[in-house]
Amino acid sequence: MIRRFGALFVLVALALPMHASFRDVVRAIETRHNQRQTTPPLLGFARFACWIIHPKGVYDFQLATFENLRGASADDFAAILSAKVGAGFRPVVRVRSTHSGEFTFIYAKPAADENRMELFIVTHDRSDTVVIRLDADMEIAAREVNMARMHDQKRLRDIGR
Amino acid sequence: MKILLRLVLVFALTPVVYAQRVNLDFPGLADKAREVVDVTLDGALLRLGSRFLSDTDADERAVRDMVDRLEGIYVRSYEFGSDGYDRSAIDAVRKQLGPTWKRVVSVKSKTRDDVEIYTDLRGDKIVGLVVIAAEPRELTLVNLVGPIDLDKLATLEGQFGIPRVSKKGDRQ
Repeated sequence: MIRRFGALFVLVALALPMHASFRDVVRAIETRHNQRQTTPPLLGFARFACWIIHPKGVYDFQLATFENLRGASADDFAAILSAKVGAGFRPVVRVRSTHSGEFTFIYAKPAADENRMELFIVTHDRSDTVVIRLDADMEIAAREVNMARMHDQKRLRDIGR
Repeated sequence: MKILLRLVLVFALTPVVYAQRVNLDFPGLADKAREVVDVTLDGALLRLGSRFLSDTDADERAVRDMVDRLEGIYVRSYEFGSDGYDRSAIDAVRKQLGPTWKRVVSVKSKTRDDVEIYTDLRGDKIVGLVVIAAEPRELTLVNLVGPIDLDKLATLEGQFGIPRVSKKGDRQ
């Protein structure tokens, strides 16, 4: 039994190499703020499952979270991202507030498959900082989003009756 | 050889009808702002982004049709503190607009924001658009690059970070 679990663990560990640019960004944040990321439990298995079944058009994802990151500034993160995010990624959305200290950066990289896109998202508020890399089929993602919106609109209409 | 030279000459003298991207990034402006929204969507990213607009909703379908033909959407929106911002950025945007650009809308208001809309008109086609919406403490700059249908333009309000300019009920 232990052997089976061990073999499975090794298989998952080998099958889930961290994407270079994601690892670089996370390490740069860890070094800059002298704080380790917190990893949700069983994230590796979730990612492995994602590779196999592509739920809602998601082919791969990586996630790192930091709690109460001290001294995080949008300028620091912008510099880290522009240096480490990797070739092909371009900034699509950059939102920041010096008033609240919150910021969000979204970088995107179209894939060879015209429907697929890699997204690199960094978002920070007073309590949490989240770094996500997502490889998804935008056609499927758009379909899911639009379907959810249609359901919401229908529900609102039903409530209004 | 002569034919080749003529061809080169013809191509060199033919006015190129490419839409112009206007530089909306000015040093110091974003650094001074309290809130910054910066949206840059072009090429493949714009095509993929437009897929998130619904096919079934008539308004969103109109936006999608328009966005599919655009080459780029660039939005910069800044909110400043009580000391406001350096208005030379607005002049810097205006200075980039060449002779094909015409101001089509100019709204001056003491109570609301001043709005100017410029279009890049080539023949009877609009191939670019710039919106400057300025308040004492807020500045929004929008640049659309590519063929634009003015009738459908209002449908882009509120999409891709583009602010709403018209009042409620203005749209038909």
